[in-house]
Amino acid sequence: MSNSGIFDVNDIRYLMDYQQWSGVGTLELIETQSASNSAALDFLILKEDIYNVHFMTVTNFQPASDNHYIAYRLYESGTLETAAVYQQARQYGIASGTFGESNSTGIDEVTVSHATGTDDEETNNCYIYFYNLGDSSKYSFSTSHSSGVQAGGSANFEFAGGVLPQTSTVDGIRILTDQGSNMEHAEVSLYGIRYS
Amino acid sequence: MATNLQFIKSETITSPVSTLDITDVFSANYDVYQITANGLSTAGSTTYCAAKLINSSGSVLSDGSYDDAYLSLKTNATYGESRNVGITYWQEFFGDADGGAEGSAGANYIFNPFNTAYTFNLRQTFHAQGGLYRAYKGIGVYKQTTSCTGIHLMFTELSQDVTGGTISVYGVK
Repeated sequence: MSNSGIFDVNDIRYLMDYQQWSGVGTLELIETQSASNSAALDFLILKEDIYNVHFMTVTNFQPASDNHYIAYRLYESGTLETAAVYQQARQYGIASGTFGESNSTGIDEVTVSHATGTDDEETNNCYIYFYNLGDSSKYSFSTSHSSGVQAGGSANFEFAGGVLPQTSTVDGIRILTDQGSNMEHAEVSLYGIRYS
Repeated sequence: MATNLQFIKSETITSPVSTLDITDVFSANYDVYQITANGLSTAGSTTYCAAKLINSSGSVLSDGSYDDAYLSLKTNATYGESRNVGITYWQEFFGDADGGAEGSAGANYIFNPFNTAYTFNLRQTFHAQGGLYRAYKGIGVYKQTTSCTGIHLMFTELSQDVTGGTISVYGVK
């Protein structure tokens, strides 16, 4: 390979073959927000006309009061859907307790974690995939998986699926704590997956 | 070096198909791959979105070396379990496609398809099917040390073609 300081196509191909060309990644960070005793975090730029699949991470989440959960609601053409129209199915496990399932056919938010405590190191972390948000002819889906510590110190996990069974253009995501507790802290990042 | 998903190939279904081959996507460049699907739909009733692997000669691997196990999380009913040993494909790899506003989507991972080790997958899918909603969480393994370069999606189990959707393959760096 030449050392002129300029990459030509062959240079790039060579480097790609050896995974040494960083190129343009296909996981595009759209936005990161942090909560600090916040009621909700609104992501209102989804680029849903570009991405069919979105990826979100929630880290270091802690509710303001014990044993609340991470949840989301969706905006449809700028209007937050708060009616009990969402459905979800969740499977959870508690390190010092039991495994169980929880499902609902008429709820006003989708939960994506299990319970979380409020002691210093009791936090929760999860990822969420969103599908079809920008497709007005399709329902909007999510799949998620979390790992956290609930009040009293027990570790827990939860994986889940959720749906907003309405044909609409979803152009925003609200991250909140279930049942109205504030988020003491959390960092939330939203990504689009190119070519999805 | 960036740590990221690296796009490899995407296939968009725009006319009815009973199978779909996504070829030349697994290579020595990556050990881990993500495959996303969205909008998998049919013209009418439900079909299962199953999968097989394609070897480096381009042959679809149909021997009885596929195992899988997945939990069906149902929004309206008790959950179900599916376990399969020694079958000829991975069942419901991308859940169940269906018509209208329904259908399936998912973000699955494939491990070690190209090197000579068993090939594994992790699955997380969601589908809407006849007014019912299901998330699948599961695993699969192909218990041969065959080098594989592609994946064969098959929608034949319920004799219903898939008419729409996009499947994209990424290398995980």
